[in-house]
Amino acid sequence: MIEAKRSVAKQNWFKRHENATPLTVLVCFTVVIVILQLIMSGERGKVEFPSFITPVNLLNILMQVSVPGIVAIGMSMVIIMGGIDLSVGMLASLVSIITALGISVWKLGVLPSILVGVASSVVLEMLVGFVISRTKVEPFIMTLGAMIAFQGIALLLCNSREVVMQGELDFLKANLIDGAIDPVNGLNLTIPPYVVIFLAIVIIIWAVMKFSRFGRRIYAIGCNPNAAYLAGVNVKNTKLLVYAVHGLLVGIGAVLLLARINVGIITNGQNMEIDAIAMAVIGGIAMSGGKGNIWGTLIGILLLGSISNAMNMLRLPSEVSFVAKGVIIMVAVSASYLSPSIKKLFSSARNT
Amino acid sequence: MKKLLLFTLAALMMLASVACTPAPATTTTEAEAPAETAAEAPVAEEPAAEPKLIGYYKDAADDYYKAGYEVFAALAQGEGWEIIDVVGQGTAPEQIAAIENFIVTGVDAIVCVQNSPQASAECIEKANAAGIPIFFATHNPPSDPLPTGFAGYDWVQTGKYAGESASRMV
Amino acid sequence: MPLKEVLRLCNITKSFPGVQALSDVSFDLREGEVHCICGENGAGKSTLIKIISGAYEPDAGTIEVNSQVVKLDPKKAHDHGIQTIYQEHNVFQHLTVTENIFTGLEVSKLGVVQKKEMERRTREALEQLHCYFDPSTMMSDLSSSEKKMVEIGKALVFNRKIIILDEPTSSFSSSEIDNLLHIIEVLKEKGMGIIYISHHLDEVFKTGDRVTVLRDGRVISNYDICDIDEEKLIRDMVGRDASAFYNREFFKHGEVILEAKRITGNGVEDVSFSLRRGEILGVAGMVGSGRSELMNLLFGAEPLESGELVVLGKKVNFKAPENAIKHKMCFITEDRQFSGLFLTHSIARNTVIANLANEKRIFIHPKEDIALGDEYIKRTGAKAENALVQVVNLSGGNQQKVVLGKWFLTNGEIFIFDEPTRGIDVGSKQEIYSIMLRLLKENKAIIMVSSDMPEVISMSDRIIVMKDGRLVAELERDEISEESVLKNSIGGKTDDRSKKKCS
Repeated sequence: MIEAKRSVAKQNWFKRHENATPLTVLVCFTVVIVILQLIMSGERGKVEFPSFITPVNLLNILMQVSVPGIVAIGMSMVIIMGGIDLSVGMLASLVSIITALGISVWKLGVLPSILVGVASSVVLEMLVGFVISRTKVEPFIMTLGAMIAFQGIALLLCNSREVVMQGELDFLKANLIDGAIDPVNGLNLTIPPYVVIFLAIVIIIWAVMKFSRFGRRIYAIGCNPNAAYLAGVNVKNTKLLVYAVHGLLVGIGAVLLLARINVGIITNGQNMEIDAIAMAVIGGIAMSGGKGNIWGTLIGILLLGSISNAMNMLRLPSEVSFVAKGVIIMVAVSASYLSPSIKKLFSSARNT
Repeated sequence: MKKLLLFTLAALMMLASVACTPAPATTTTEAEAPAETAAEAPVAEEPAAEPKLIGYYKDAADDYYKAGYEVFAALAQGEGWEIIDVVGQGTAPEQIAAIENFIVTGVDAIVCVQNSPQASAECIEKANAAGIPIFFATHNPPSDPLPTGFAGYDWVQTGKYAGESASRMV
Repeated sequence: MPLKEVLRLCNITKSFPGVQALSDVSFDLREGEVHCICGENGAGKSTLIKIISGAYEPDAGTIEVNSQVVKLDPKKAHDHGIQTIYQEHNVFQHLTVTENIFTGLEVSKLGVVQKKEMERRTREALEQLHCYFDPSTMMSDLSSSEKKMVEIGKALVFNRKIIILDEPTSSFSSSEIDNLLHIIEVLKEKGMGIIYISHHLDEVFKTGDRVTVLRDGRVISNYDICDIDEEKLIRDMVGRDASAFYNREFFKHGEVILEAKRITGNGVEDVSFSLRRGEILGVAGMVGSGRSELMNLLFGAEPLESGELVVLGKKVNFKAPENAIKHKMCFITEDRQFSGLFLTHSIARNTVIANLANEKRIFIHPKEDIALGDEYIKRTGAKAENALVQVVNLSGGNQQKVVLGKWFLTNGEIFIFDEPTRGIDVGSKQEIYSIMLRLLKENKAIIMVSSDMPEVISMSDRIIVMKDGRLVAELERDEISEESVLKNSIGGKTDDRSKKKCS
C-alpha cells in the first residue's frame, strides 16, 4: 500500500513538484541560447563551442548574480511571509556608502566598518519591520517611503559625491582558484569569495525555511495570519525577525557589492529591488504569500542573470535584453496558469 | 506537454528577437562629431585581414555618447568590423558585467564610456589578464592600471580654460 | 398535468486533483416545483451547484435550459435565468440594497444611471417577498435573513426562473425559517423552479416536492416527497441506520480542570463557571450573545481585562494563544476556512503547525510532518489520499477532521469547540460526536458552543446560556430542555419538526 503510494508520488513528481516549471524554463532557455550560438557562429564561417556554456562564462554569471541573488533570497523570505520590500536597492547603496565612509573617511578599520554597515542595515530593516508587524500599514507603501528615505540619508552622508576606496575589500574578490584555466578558450577562471558566500547563504536559508520551526511559521503567516495566530504563532515577532534577517542579508550583499565595485556611490544598488522581486517571482514565489521555496528562487536568480549575459553572448544590443527579460518573466509566471488550459485544448482536440 | 510548450515559446521568442535585431552594420547616421573622432581615427586604421569584433559599452543612453558611438560605428563598418553595442543604466556593476561578457565572447578590442574610474580599474585588470586592448572614451579613466588608450578631453583643464576666458570677459 | 421542465443535467462528471467530485450525475427541475438535494459532505452538492451556476465547467455531460443545450459561465447562467444564492453571503456590505441588486446590471439611459427606477423595481421585488425595509438601506445593517431576501429579490427583479438555495437557513431563527418557507411558496406560484439544498430534513419535508440524494458524487435515489420519510432519506444519504444519532454515553466527572472567576474582556462581562474532566459544557445563546467572544477570551486571543482564570490548577493570564496551547488548551474555531486552516497548504503542514509551540527542537525534517499528517488522517478518519493533499480540495467534514488532527497532536486536555458540525453532513457529524466522546473517555474536557439545538441539548452534560455578553443561566443535566434553554436565551428559536401534509 505504501509502496504503491510512493511510486505514484514519483510518477507525479514532475507534475506536482513546485520547481518543475522554473527549472524547465531555465533548461529550455539554455538550450535555445546554445542552439542560436551554434547557428550564428556557423553563419560567420566556423562553428565554435557556444561561449554561453563555457566554464568561464558560467562563473561570470555566478559572479554577476551573487549580490542581487543574496538580496533575492532575503526578498523571498519576506514575500513568502506575505510582505514585500521595495527599499532594498537604496538600502544596499546606503550600506555600501556607510561602509566605504567607514574605511576611507572615518578610518574605523576594515572589519569595524563592515560591522557598522551590516548592523545599520539590520537596524533600519527592523525599524521598518516593527511598524509593519505592529500596524496594518501596507508593506508596499511603507517600504516605498523607506526607499526614498534611505536614498536621502545616503546622499546626505556622502554629500552626493562618491566615496572612493583603495581596494581595502579586495580580499573579498580574490581569486580562490588562481591559475585555473578554461579548457575551451584559455581564459582565467575566477571564483571569488563572494560567490562562495552567496552559495552558502542559499544553502543556509534553504535549510532554515525547510527544516526549522521559524521557516514553517513564515509559511503559515503568509498563507493565513489569523489561523497562524490562533495556532500559537507569534505573528508580530516572527514578522519582525524576518525583516531583521532580510536586513542582514541585504547588508552582507551591499558589502560584497562594494568589494566588487570599489566605490561607494548612490547608484550601486539602483534597481536591485526590481531584479530581486523578479528573481523571486520567476522562481515560483507567489506574491500573495505562503508558497514557494529557495531552490526555486535560485533558479530564478540564475535565469534572470543569464538573460543579459546571453544577450551579450549573442551580440544583441542591450535594448533587446530588456524585452527578453520582460517576456521571460511573463512566460515563467504564466506558464503554471496556462498549462492546464492548454492541456485541455489539446485533449479536447484529440477527442473530437 | 508543458516542456514542449515552454520550449516552443522560448524558441519563438528568441528567434523573434534575433529577427528584430538590426544587422550590426547598418547604423550610418551622421551626428555632430565631437573632437573624439580625430582621436579614434588612428585606432580604426588597422589594415588587418580578418574583420575585427569590437565590444562597445556606454554607461547610459545619452545622446552625447550615442553620437560618439555612431561615428565610431561608421568608421568601423567601413573596415568591415562587427560591433557589439551594450548600454547600461548608469551603474557600475553593469559596466563590470559587460566587460566580463566581452572578454568571454572573445572580442578583439573593447571601447568603454565608463561609469567610474574604480569600476574601470577592475575592467582594465581583467582585460589585461585576457590580453585584450581596452580603450576609454569621454570620461577620464584611471592611470593605474593603465588602459591601452583614451579618447576625450581633460575636463579639468578644459574647465580651467573656460573659467579663464570667462574672467577675461568680465 | 406534468409541469414544464426548465433545467436538465445529463451525465455530469467533474473531478479535481485527487478528488472525483461528481460521476455521471443526472438531475432535472420543473417550473413551479421545489426539488431538494440531500447528501453528506463530500457527496458533491456544492460542486453540482457550482456547475449549474456556471462557476465550474463539467468535465463531461450536458446542461439543458428550457430544452436548449447550453455552455455556462457565471454571466451566461444569469442570462439563462439561473440565480444562485450560496450559503455564505455573496453581498457587498458597503453598498445599499438597490446597489447590491443592480451592480453590473444598472439601468441607464444614455449612460446615465436611473437611480429612481432601480429603487422602484427593488421596492417592488422586496414587497413581493414581504420585506418592507427601504431599498437605500446599507446591506451591513440588515440581518442574515434579510440579506438572503435581498439575494432572492435579485432573481425577481431580473425575472430569473431558476433559483438555487444552498443551506439558506444556516443562521436563521425559527420564525425566519418559517418566513423563508412561506416565500418559497410565493415563488412556486410565480412558476419559478427552486433547487433547495439543506441538511435540515424538517425543512426538506415541509417545502420539497421531490428530493434527490447524492452520495460520493453519484445520484443514489430520486423520490417524490410524499413517497418517503425521514428515516429512508437518512439511510440513503448515509448508507447506514442513523437512528442512534443523538444518543450519547455519559461519564463520571473528574476534577475541575478550568475555572473562570468573574472574567471580563472582549465584550464579555463578569462570567464565572467551572469545567470538569469528562464533561461537555455546552454554551448556548443567540447569535451575538458573546459565546465566541468568550471562547476567544478563554484562549488568550483577546486580553483579559479583569477577573481570574485558573487552568490545571494554576492562575493564568494568557498574552497570546501560544500560551494557552502550552497550557494544554485547544480551540476549534467557528470558521475553519478563515481561522482554522491554511487552505493552500497540505494536510501535513496543517497538522503540525499548532504543536510547534510545544516542540523543543530547532530543526525538524519535513518527512516527519508528512508522517504525522498520515497518522492523524487515520486517527480522525478523514477521507484523503495522503498527507500531501491540499486542504482546499477536501470537503467540509474532512477539513474539520484535519483541524481536529492539528489539535490532537498538541496532546491538549481542554478542547474548545465552536460550532463543531457547522456545514457538515449527517454521517460526518456522528463521527465528530464519537471523536468528542472518545476525548471524554480519555479524561479530557470540552467546552462546546453550538447554535444547533438538538446538538447542544443532546451532547452537553451541562449548559451555560449567554445573553448580551453575560452568563445568564447554568443548567444541570436534569434541567436541560428546549424550553429552558430558549427561555434563557430569549429570541425564540423553535424547532418545529412537523412533516408536510401530502394530498
